[in-house]
Parts: sequence; structure tokens; C-alpha cells
Amino acid sequence: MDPQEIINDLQHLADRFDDSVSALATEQQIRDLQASFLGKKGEITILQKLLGKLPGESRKEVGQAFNQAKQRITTAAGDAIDGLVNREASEYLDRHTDLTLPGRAPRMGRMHPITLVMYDIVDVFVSMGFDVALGPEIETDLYNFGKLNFPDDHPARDMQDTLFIKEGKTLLRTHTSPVQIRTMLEKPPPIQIVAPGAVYRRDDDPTHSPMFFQVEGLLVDEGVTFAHLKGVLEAFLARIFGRDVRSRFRPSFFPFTEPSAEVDIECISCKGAGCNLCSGTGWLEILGSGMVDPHVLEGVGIDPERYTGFAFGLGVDRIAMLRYEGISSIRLLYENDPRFLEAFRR
Amino acid sequence: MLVSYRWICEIAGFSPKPEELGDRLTFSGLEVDELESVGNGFDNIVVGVIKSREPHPTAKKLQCVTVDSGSGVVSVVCGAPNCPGPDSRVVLARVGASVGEITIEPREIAGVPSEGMLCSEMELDIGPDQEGIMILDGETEAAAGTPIADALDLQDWIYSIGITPNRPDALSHRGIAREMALLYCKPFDPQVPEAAPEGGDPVGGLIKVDLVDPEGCPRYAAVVITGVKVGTSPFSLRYRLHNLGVRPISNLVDVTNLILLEYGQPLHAFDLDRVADARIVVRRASDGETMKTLDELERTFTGDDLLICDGERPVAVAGVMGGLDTGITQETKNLLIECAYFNPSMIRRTSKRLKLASESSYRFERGIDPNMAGDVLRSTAGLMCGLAGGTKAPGLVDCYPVPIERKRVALRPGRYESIMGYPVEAQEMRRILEGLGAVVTGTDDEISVLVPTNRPDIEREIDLVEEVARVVGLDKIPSLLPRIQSCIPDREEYEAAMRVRQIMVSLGLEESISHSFVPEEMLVGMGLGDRVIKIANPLNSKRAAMRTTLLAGLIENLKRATTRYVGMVRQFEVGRTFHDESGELPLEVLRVAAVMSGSRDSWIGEDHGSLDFYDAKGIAGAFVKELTGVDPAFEPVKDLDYMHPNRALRVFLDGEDVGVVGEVHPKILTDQKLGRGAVGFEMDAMKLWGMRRRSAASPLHEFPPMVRDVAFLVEESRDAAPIEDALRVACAPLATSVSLFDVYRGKGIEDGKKSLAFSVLYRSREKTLTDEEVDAIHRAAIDQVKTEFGVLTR
Repeated sequence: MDPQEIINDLQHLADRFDDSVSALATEQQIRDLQASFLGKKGEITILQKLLGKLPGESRKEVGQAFNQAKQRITTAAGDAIDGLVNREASEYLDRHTDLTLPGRAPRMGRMHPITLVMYDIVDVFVSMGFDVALGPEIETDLYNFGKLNFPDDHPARDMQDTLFIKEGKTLLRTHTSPVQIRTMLEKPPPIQIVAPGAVYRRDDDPTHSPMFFQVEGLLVDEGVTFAHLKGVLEAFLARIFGRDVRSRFRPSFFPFTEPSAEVDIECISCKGAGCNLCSGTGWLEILGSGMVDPHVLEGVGIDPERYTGFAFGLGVDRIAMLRYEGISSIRLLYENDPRFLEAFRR
Repeated sequence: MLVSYRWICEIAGFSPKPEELGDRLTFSGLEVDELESVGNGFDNIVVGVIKSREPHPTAKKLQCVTVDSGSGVVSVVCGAPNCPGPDSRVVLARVGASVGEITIEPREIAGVPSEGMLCSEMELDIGPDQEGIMILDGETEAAAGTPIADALDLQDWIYSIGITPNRPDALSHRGIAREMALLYCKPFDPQVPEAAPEGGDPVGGLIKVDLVDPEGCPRYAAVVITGVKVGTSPFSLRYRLHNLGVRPISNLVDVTNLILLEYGQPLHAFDLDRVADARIVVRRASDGETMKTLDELERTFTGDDLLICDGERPVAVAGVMGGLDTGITQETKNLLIECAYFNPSMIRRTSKRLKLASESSYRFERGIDPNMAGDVLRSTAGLMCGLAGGTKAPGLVDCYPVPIERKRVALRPGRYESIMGYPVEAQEMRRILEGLGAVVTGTDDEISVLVPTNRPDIEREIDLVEEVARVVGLDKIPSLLPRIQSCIPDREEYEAAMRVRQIMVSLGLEESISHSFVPEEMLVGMGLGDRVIKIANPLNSKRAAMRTTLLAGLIENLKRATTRYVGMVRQFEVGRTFHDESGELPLEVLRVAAVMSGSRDSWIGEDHGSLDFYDAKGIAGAFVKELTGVDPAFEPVKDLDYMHPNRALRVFLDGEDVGVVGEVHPKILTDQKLGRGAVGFEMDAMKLWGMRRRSAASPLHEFPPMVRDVAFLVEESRDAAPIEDALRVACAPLATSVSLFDVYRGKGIEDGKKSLAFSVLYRSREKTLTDEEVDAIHRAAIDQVKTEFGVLTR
């Protein structure tokens, strides 16, 4: 075979590759085409088998031609692929995307508004150095009433309408105050606890739920005074309702504290001007408090001449209703409608 | 309690501004809930004097009158049956006046022009009378045209005061007037009322009182008034009662009510002629004894109830309610007025037992002043005789075998400061205590106080501390932050509950808080009705049983959501369940549960199907792993009434049963009329909390992994996990993970079989594995599984 003919053929083959490759649309097609020239059974590979039959002196020249042709095809294939990739990349960048469609959002869970508020309340006291105590929700009459200085047959018992398990013996606790008794019976002063939890009363209307949540607080030590009660509660109110919240202490009555006080804050809705939320008074009743009654201390074996203490109790539901908008009825809190629960953030 | 501003000012002898007085009362512990101004808004409503009266020409029931309105004579057509004749004074609403909802305008009534309206008490809301128009003859001499508020002196302010149980003294206008004088630093020296004329036989000759039970009734005093005439009280008295929420009835009854409101002393008036043998016996009831009370109900008593009886029968439930037979009527002429002091606890027990509360029982159970009977009876007789005529029989019956003395209580000013954190001068303390009516002696280190008997609540030093503090004002006390002794935190359950909530939220669930009481039949239907704690006095039968499972409340939530067309529910709850272990108190267990129903999250045009058993299992498993650091084990459980028998698993951790996960039994959902499926789980939160492991990271692998797949062809009924476990054992230790990645049925697989495809990741910590090594192990492992289960590979 004429070496020059082979060189020409190689030239043609390379030209043909160039012509064909420009029409191809995918990388695979280009690689297939490249293989049909350079692969095991490719035209150039087949042709190359003739190389050995050529006279020695022409082999070098023809060999170089093979290399050139292969080089040309490989380069052309590479360029074609690069061109293809560039074209795709630019097409990808030009493609229209409907950006108005909604995003795919992962589903988030939520805590109940009562939990959120309770956590914040407890957190304030814990950061002041209080510990958290819990007690049973089904209590003895003795701990719920007797040890808290509610005498039998006393009208003070009417202040809390009770759900009984066994009348006169066990009941659903009407307040978190029995946790005070349990804690004081368990350990000697100093005592510094808050007790969050569910409480129960025999009451059901748009402003009362038969189950609701309270946080109780108790500090018993030497030298604790009403001034400390005021200091701690004012600090608490500032943390929960903001630094500039105004509050006032009104004398009141609870059997287990004396002197007792109710605490009002200036209405957060009307800032004291008077509105529906505060029934026109400009103030919202937020918690009950007082100095632990000496009878209560004696009843748990603490010497009231040596130790004094204060206690307070606040309604978590009430604070949730003030803190969040749209809780128009306390019932909403216990119906657990998914649309309602979705609304609350910390 | 409703309190008339005018009345307390009359008693106290001075008149501060109504709002300011209200604030002072509130800040001394008598909380004013509401202050209402009454007796105003009567523009153009005046005294009118009738000039002439003629029948209406056509309408029989109407009268045509001309009335001097003070600014000319106007014609008015009046339909009242009591329309009076010339010279009578009436209440005229002139044109332009508003009466209730009506604005008075000139108009024609049955063809006759009318330029005003003659009003009744009811129409002006100054009394309950609506029988006819108000006739003012005898009530006022005011000239025609005088505004009615002036003519009848209507202006007043009514306080609504919440009286706490420790302040029985404040359940009266005198008590509040005393408080008012104290707060304004004025002497309290109310006027002594006029005494009644006395005559006839002394009271001792007219009645006999036999006080059999001085424990139940420490004091029984009474007077007799003869020759009274029942009539209507004057407008001013009726108006006062009306404003205080008491319906005027007759002069006799009105006086007893007025005295109750003034002194806080409940009285009972008997028609003396109906009291058998003119005899009063105060004794305990015998068990089963009965009597008809004023409300016409037959009452049955026990030996713990105190009765007032006459010579034959019970005539009143002491301190609670009178009897029907001996009450005063329109015909009553002679009266016996009882003024007693009853044992507070006994009155309360009786009132509770009979479910019968009255203004009287309310005051007796809180404790009235036992030592005011003399004043009260003098005042009552004076008022009664002034209004209804009659004569008081000389003297007074007074059975008071053991007089109740004033208590002596000491107050150390130093102790005051150690409780309140702020000193008050001993001098100021004395002033305050004297203002309460106490006799104060002692030294500046220890003040000795003889407490008045209208303050049964004051028994201890701390009670005096409170009195001083509330009068001084809590706003005087500074705010101080205490030194709080630090402590070793001990709050496991609180922390556990919070951690559980955080994990559940991170798994995309919303927290529910539902009532702890559920319908008992629901628990029974779920097979969880054993050891249920029941409420003795539930609000209703649907809230009578304490939950033994949190799932009950969650299913109720699901039901509520369904009736409200809410499609997707994914809720969890953390809370206590209650179980009767027959100790004094039940066992309370902190649990966590979840219920899920509806479609999975998807995006436009995508459908990921509905939440099913595997969603619940997945979340339950992820929760346990996240809380404890350990993957739980599962075992099928078929015998739960609340879970699908073939789609429920018991959850185990370290071999301990920690809960259940599964598809809620369709029967439960049908019982709840829920047309949808639901899955869920419930676990013991504290048990899991106690099994937490320390988190630990394994060293990271350095050498590349090699992956080999294998698919086994198995019977449809065969479960995947045992094969997976066997494969894991067989290809250990070089395999670091074995996972099921496909379950395939259909083309290429014969009916009744399925293909389970597993992916095995081989990896060494020492070197890069070779294909040969891995293939050998993999092949051996596959053969082992094939032999063990008798299955083929695909």
C-alpha cells in the first residue's frame, strides 16, 4: 500500500470526523463517534494495523500521520464536548423559572402557648436562684387545704370550688400551693422553689377552664420580708412584661399568707386609660402573694420566729392571654385546634 | 357587696370624693370592683302637678290630663290605672326626655295629642314598681318643674366591693364607714338612732325563750313590737334598698333588710300571733325532722342542724331561713324580732348540707359581732315603730349565758419590721388599732390590743401586723432584692418534660395540652378502664374519669379537628396519667404520646400519600434514639383494644417495656365517629429519661468503603427485620452497616413473593479492602442467610 495513500486517507478520515462531530448534540454521541474512529474497531485503528506492513523507511512518516490524525480527532472531540457543555451551561442560565411558586418548607413543630409562657416564667426565677419543684395533681385534702390554713367549715374554702376524688380526703389540687407544704416538709430552710403545674377547679365558662396552670413560688429563710417579696415580683414583672411595666400591690386575703397582697399591672392594652381588657379600670390582676402565715410554718415544723418567707402564685393561662394576641377565650387553650396551635412562637 | 356612698358618708359624718374613697378602700383591702353613679341622666324629667283629668273620648283605659310642667301646662294621655286627679304630684317626662329606650316626642294617642309621659319607678329604674305611675304626694313638696333627681334626692354612687372571708365586719355599711373614718384619720362616732315608744306588758310577760343549745347559739336576743300596720315604706328607703339590690316588700320586711345592710346583723321577724304558746325554743334538730322553709320547700334535718322552734314545731332554720308558717304577712300586727349570734361553723354546715345560702347564712358563717344585739334591736324597734306605728314592749329578752369577750393580742413593733421590712412608729400603730375600735395599752416595745368583737379574724400578732400594713399602705414598703441561698438543683421531671417537648417539636409535632379528665366509657372502650380514678363531683359525665392514657385526649383533639375540617393533625402531649394503686394517692406517671392523621407533607403536584404506621414507628424510634442515645427494639403486640391487632408494636429499651406504637384501632375511631385513620404512640417519659446514655462519637473511618447489594426472594408473609439481622451477623465484622433499600413486588417476581434488597457497606479501619476480600465475605454471608431462611437470591 502506498504510504502517501494512507496519509491521505488519514487526512480524509480526520476531515470526516470534523464534519460529523459538529452536527452531534450529546456528549455520548460524540464519544461514540470518536470510538468509531479511534476505538478497538475504529476506522483508524483498523488502518493502523496496516502500518506494520509498510516498508521501514515510510513507517516513521505514516506513524506521525497517525498520531496527528488521532490528535486532531481527540482534540476535535474534546472541543465539541466543551462547546456542548458551554452551550448547555448557557442554556441552563437562560432557562425561565417560575419564581412565584411557593418554596418547599420543612415542617416545624411547636410548643403549646402555655408551655412557652410557663417556661419563660420559670426561667426568670431559676436564673434568680430558685429551684423547680413539682407535686402530685391529685392531692390530699390536708395538703391542699388543711396545712395551708383553710380550716374545716370555713368560708375560705368557698374561694376555690373543688373537684373531689373522695370528698374530704383526696381531690384534684385547686392550686399549686400544696407543693409549698411538700417542699417544706421535705427539707429545712433555706427554701427557694417555684412550682409550675396543672390545677383544677369546678368551673367552666368562657373565662374559666376546669383545668388551668399556675406557677407557685416560695422563699423561706432568715430575714425574708415583704420588701423582698415586692423586689422579686417587680423584677419578675419587668422581665415578662417589659422594663417599664407599672405594678401595684393591693392588700388581700389568702388563708396561707398574711399579710396578703394581690398584684396588678397597668393594662398592657390601654396603658391605664381603661379598655375592655381591663374592664375600664386600667389595671390587670396578675398574681396573688403574701408572707407565709406563721401557722403554715408551724404546721411543717419551721420556727416562725426564726424564719420568715414569702409565697406567690400566678395564673399561666392569664399571662399567656396577655402575652399573645388572639386568645379570646380560655377554652381555645385546651381545644388544641391545629390552626390555633400553629400561631405561637417564643 | 353593694355599698351606698351616701349612706356610708351619712354614718361616717363626712363626704370625700366617691372615686377617691373607692381607691382608698381598694388599697386598704376592700377591693372596689365597680363604682356606679346612680340617680342621674334625668334631663327633662320633672315634678309635674296635675291640673285636670278627663276620660279619653274613645279609649276606655286612657285618661287625658293637663299637667303643670313648671314651664307651662301640657296635655298628656296617660294609660296608668292609678292616674291621680288635680293637685297630685307626678313624674313628668317632658318632650325631649329619654325614658329607657324611648325619647319623648309630641304625638297623638288614639286621636288625642300628648306632649309628655307620666312615669313609673320601673321606667326610671329607681324602683321595681310597674303597677302604675309614681305619685309623689307625701314624698316631696317640690314645685312643678323641679328636676326629679333634686326633688327625690336621687344622686348616689354604688360601690361593688369584693369582701374577703376574713372581713365579716365589712359586710355592713357601718363597718365600711368605720374603715372610712380610719383611713381618713377621723373619729368614728355615728349618730344614735331614735328609740321606739314603749308601752304595755314587759317583753318577758309576752314571750318565753328557751335556749337549749348555747353551743350552737351563744346569744339569743329578741324584742316584741305590738300594734304595727303593714304598709309601703317611704320612697327614700325603697330607693336605697333598690340600689343595693334588695327588693322592697313592706315596711316591716324593709326595716329588717335595712338593718342587715347597716349593721351586718341578720334579723328574723316572726308574726307573734302565729308563734305557738308565745314560746321560742332554740335546739338541735332530731335526725329526719322536717320543716317547710319560706321558699316553700320541705327540708329534712340532721342532729347537727340548729332549729328555732315555737311551742309546737320548728319555725326557722337558725341563721339560714325562716319557716313558711310564722313569717310576717300583710295581716301581721304583733312582731317578735330575733337578733341572735349563731355558731359560724354550724351555720355553714347546715347551709352546705341543705344547699341553701342566704344573706343571713352568709354573714353568720363568716362571724358577726355577738355584742351588737342591744344597739341593733334599739335601732330596729325605733325604725319599725317610726314607719309602721306600734309600740315596743318594755325590755328585751337576752339569753347570753357566756358572753363572748374581747381577745387580747400583743404586737411587737420590732416584729412588724422584721416581717414587712419597713418600720412604722408605735404611735401610728396605736392610732390605727384604735381606729379599728380596739382598746390599746402596753409599751412601745409591745403594744397590747383588746380586739373588738366585730373582728373575729384578729387572733394573733400577725393579724395585727396585717391590719397596720394595709392601713399604712403597701406602696410605702420599699422593694428589695433578697440574698437567695444557692441550692443543688433537683428538677428531674421538669427537665425531662422540657427535653421531651423539644425533641417532639424538632420531629415536626405540635404540642397539645388537653384536660386530664376524659369520658370513662372512652377509657373502657380502649381497654384502659382498669384502675381508673373517678371524680366524685364531675362537671359532667364526659369529664368524670382521670385519664389512664394521653391518647384519649389526643383522639378527642383529632375528633374536634375533623369536625372543623382540619385535614392534618400531628400532635403530641406530655403529661401525667393517673392509676389507682389503692394507696392514699394514685400513681401519677409522666408520659409522652402522639397522634397523627392526614397526608404527609408534599409540594405542588407531588403526592407523598397519607401518614401511616411507618410514620408513627419512625418518629417513635427517632424520639427514643434522640432522648436516650439508643435505638429501641420493637415487638408485635396483638392484644391491645386501642391498637390495630396487626399494626402495633411494643417498644423496648434495654429489655424494658417503655411503650406502644401503632395504628389506632379502627373500632376506637368508629366509636368516636371519626371517618379517618390515625396512628400514634405512647411512652413512659420518666422511664426513658432514666435510661439515657452518654453521647459518644466513634472515630471517623479513614479508608474508603465498598458497597455490595443483595436481593432475597421471600414469601410475602416473611418480615424483613430477621433477614436483615441475620445478614448483619453474617457479614460482620467488616460490614459497618446493613440497610434495606427496596421492597419489590410485581414484574419478574412470582405472585405471593417479594424481593427484599439490602445494601451492605464494608469498611476496615486498618486498610483499603480489596474486591476479592469483600466478595468472599459477601458471598459467604449470602449463602448463610439463604440456608438459614431457605430463600433464594434474585
